[in-house]
Amino acid sequence: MYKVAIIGVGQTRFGEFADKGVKELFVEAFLEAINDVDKGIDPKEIEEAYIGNLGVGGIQLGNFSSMAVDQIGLHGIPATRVENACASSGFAFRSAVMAIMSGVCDVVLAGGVEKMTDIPRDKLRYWLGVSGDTEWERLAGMTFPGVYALMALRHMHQYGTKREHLAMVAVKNHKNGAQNPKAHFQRETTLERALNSPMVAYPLTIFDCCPVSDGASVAILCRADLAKKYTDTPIYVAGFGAGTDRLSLFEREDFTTLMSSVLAAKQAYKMAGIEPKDVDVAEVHDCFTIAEIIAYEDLGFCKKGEGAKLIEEGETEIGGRIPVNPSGGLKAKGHPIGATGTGQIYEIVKQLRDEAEKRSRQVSGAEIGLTHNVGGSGGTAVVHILRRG
Amino acid sequence: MVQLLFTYLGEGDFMEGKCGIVGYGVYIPRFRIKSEEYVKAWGIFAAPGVKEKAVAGFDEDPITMAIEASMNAINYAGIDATDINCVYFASSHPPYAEKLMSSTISTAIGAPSNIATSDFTSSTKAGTAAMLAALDFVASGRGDFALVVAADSPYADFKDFIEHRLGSGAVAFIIGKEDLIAFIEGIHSVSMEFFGERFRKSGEKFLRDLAIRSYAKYALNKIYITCVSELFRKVNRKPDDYKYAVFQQFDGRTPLEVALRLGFKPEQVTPTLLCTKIGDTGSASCLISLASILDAVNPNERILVASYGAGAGSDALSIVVTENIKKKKDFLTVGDYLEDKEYVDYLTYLKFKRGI
Repeated sequence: MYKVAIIGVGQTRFGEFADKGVKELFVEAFLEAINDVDKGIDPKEIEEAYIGNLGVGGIQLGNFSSMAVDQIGLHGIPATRVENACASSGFAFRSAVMAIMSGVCDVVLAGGVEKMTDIPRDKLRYWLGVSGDTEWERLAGMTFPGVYALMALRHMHQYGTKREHLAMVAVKNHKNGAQNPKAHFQRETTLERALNSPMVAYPLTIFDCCPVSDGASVAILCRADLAKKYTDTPIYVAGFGAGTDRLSLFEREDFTTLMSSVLAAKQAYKMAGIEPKDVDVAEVHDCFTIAEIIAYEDLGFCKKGEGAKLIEEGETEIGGRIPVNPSGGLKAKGHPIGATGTGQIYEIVKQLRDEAEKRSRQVSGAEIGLTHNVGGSGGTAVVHILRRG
Repeated sequence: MVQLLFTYLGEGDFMEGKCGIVGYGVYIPRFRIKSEEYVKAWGIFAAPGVKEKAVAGFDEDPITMAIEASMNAINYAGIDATDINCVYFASSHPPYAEKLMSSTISTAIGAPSNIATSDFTSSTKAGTAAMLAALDFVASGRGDFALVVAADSPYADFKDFIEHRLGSGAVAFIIGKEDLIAFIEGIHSVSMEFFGERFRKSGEKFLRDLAIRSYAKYALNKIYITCVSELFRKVNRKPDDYKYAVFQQFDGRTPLEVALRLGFKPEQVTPTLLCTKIGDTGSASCLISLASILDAVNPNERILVASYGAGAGSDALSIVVTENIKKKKDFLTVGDYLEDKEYVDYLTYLKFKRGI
């Protein structure tokens, strides 16, 4: 099996763009990724594409991948739309990696795009709920924030996590996002403001919930032994893992953890031959602040139940023991569902190349990075470990 | 999305202050409903900044309100109805899709049969559009006095959030050449194609709202920034030159956001926000606010009025108050109408709106 390297990445700003649809966004990210390949690449060298998209709004449910490669001028190549809710492009990236490892392809595109701000709020609520169990969660009245609120309440009950800890995650991620020109929100916030903001689903306030965003991200991968032809700073895929969990919350034995994340992380660490403490920087899936705290535990950055302690001690700030979400995370950077996974790849690649923008967000000396992308309430999850050359 | 830009460049004598407002009057129905009544009924009141709103009675509509406002304006102007050469009526939600309503108003106030009339509709900028047309009428020499009256009592399906902010009110202006209490030093209009986030198809009873916030904001900002900056360039003014700035009041928050983006300060806008007390009065909104400002303003102060209509367009006027503003006494002010009120509950509201 071949090893895999990332030779170029691109990402649009995440946010609300009344004048850009899925096509414009995807093309923008693609062009940036092509131009990011520092020794140059002819787009026609790309042999296959995997593109993540949930299809919010129903704009192009069928043959999405065909539309996407058509727009970037690569019609003709095999293309697949990958859908695993919010983990869509994370899984698209994984498929691209495996296509190269297997020897079928040498150069592959992995990316994602989502357009979420062009439908009325009440229709959007429907689309946000489609990733839970339709019969027993969604049609029973469960909403996406509601599911994570239940996880938060249980975590608070079992481990003594407090609302303040959730707010600390929001404060940290907004502080990082404020320095990220590509983030949806570029304003800091305070603990008081986060705690006193309107309640969405107790105990989660609007500051505990990631926004609804438009955006796209693209990564170009190739066989590791061919990478130096394209760039002097290839970033290698050292390991990856993925998993699933019981879809509905009520079927799970313990919903203060995401089995899909735990399994994915274990696989990834084993393949990469590293331990959690070897990770220098991570982008985790903080669709809600509680999700980041749970992720600390699932990814082994701390013991089970001690996620709150980790954020309280400031260990996950830039400059801390294990910087998490230097981009601002889903909370501040935004969460265009299909684009988030490869958006995390974009950030880690930039960090490992020492190219983070603005420079104040750069984690110094980062050699090993981790991305953690979860679908919905944990039905699916995928972890990638990237390494500097 | 194709954007077609048509720019109307206002030219002519009235830009040099020869045309303007001789008199004005309003009519606001006495019934009011508080936001709390909506919370009791629906659990929420979805109109930020609106505390209570005016409700037209069961037997009132834009035409009846327009007649009242017109008579108040004629009284203020000190003219006779028979002096009027033109009646322009504006309403975004008129009782008829086809029937000359300006004729009903014109006849009811006692204006002569030899008169030019027209109805302006299809957006919340109909009021300012009618005013610009009235200014053209007088400036071109077609007549001495024009009556512009905007009246609206829009309604929407009771289960829709857009319904919460819809109020009722009417305002009339007498436009002329002499004894002006305020003259118009410059105007500008802008028109670009946007799908109306607020619309009603022919034959439909209820106002609809697409409720796509980012798109509505995009259209609003694009239109307003283009229109107001071009007006400023024409009359060589900047935000600080104005005592007050009136913007389209869909709620109590959006006009402030627009104003701040254009470089105005909150104190220039907050006093104009009548919607907090009477709700969204559609095409009458900007002009009713102008009337309430004229009640309080001093000579030589400047007022900006910039309307917005979905679909989309804007008319902006730069208005300068004259010494004559202080000469008028003994007329019904906006404040008088605001103070004369009687609260109704949600059930009565539904009856007045013919919902039950």
